[in-house]
Amino acid sequence: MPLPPGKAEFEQVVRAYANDLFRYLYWLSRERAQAEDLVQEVFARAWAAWADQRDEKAVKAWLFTIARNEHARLHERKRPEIDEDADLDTLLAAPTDPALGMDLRKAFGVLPAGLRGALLLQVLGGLSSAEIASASDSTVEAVNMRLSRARRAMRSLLDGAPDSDRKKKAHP
Amino acid sequence: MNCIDLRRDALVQPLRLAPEAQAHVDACPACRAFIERQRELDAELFETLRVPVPDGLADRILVAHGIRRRRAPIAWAIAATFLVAAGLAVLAPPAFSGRALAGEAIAHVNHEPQSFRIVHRHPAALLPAELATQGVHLARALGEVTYATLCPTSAGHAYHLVVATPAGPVTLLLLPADATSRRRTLVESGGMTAIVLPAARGSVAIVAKSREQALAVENALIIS
Repeated sequence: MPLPPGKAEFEQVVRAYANDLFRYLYWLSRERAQAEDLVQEVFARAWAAWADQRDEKAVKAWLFTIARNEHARLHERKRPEIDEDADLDTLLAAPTDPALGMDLRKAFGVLPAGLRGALLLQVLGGLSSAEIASASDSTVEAVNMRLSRARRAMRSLLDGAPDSDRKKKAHP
Repeated sequence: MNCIDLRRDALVQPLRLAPEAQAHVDACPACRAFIERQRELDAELFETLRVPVPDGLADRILVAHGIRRRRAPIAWAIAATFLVAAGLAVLAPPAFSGRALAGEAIAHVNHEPQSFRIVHRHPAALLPAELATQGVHLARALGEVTYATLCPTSAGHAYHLVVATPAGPVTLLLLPADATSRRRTLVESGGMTAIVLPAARGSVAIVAKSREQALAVENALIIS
C-alpha cells in the first residue's frame, strides 16, 4: 500500500539524518541510551510539525535545532544553569605538562559546552554559521567567535602530543 | 587579505575559503601549512565524532511513528525471504539489482555530505591499487582522492572514495562483494547521476552531479 502523503518524505528524512542526530546527541549527553531516546523525541516533534515544514533545504538545520532544544530541556531539569563558555580560560590557563598532551577525544570532551556545541554542529552536522546561530538562538558573530575559540583551545590542548600519538589515541 | 585575516577565517571554517582567502593561501606557504593543519584537525575530529550508531535506529523511529510495521515473526520472515528471492531470480531482469544499487549509491552520497567537505591527501597509488583488486584499471589519471572510508551497503562493504576531477568531485563506491549487478546501469535521480558497472570482482558505482561528469569517469575505467 502506498504511504500516505508526507510519510515517504518523512521516512527519507529519518533515514538521512537519524545517525548524525544520534551522534550529535551522544556527544552532548555522553549516554547512548539517552541519545537514542532523544533522537526518538526529535522525530516525534518533527513529525508533529511536519505539515508546517515547507523548505526542504532547511530540514536538516531544523532537526538539529529540535535536537539541541530537546537536550537543553532535559539538561535544565537535571542541572543548574551554568555559563557555557566561562571555564575555557581557566582550563587553558592551568599549568600543563607538554609531555602529557591530550588525545583528541579528551580535548574535545573538556571544551566548554558552548564551544563544543558550535563545533559539533559545524563539523558533524555540516551547518553554516548562520544555521548554527539560528539553531542556538545566537548571532553569526558569536558563533564564529565560538568556533574560533574552540579550534584554538583544541590546538592548545593537543600541543605536546606528537601527531602520530594523537592519531593512535583518537582511534584506540 | 593578509595572514592575520586568513588565519582568523581559517579558525572559523577551514574547509570553505572565500576566493580571496584561497588566493592568499596559494601564494603564502606559511598560511598553506596553517590551513592544512586545521583541516587535518577537523578531519580527525570528524572521524572521532562518528561513533557507532545503534543497529536499526531509523527503523525503530519509523515503527514508532507507524510508518513502518514491526518485523514479522522470524520464521515467516525467513520463509518470505526465500520466496521473494526465488521469485526475483526467475522474474527480475538482470538490470534490476543494478538499478537498486545505483539508487542506493545516490542516497548514500546524499547522506554523507561531509565526504565533500573533508579534504585529506591520500597517496596517488590508492585509487589504482583499489580498482586493480576488482580487475579495473585506469586509462588516465582521474584526479586526487580527497576522501576515503569504508561504508556498509546492502551489497556488502563499499570503499567510498571522492575524487577531485577537473570537472568537480566525483564519488566512486567500490563494491568488491557485490555479486548481483550483471549489467551496466545508469540512473538519474534528484539531480545526481549514478552508473553501476559490473567488474571482474564485484562492481563499481560512479556518482556525480551531472551525466557528463559520470560518463567522463566511466570512460577512464578499463574493466577487464
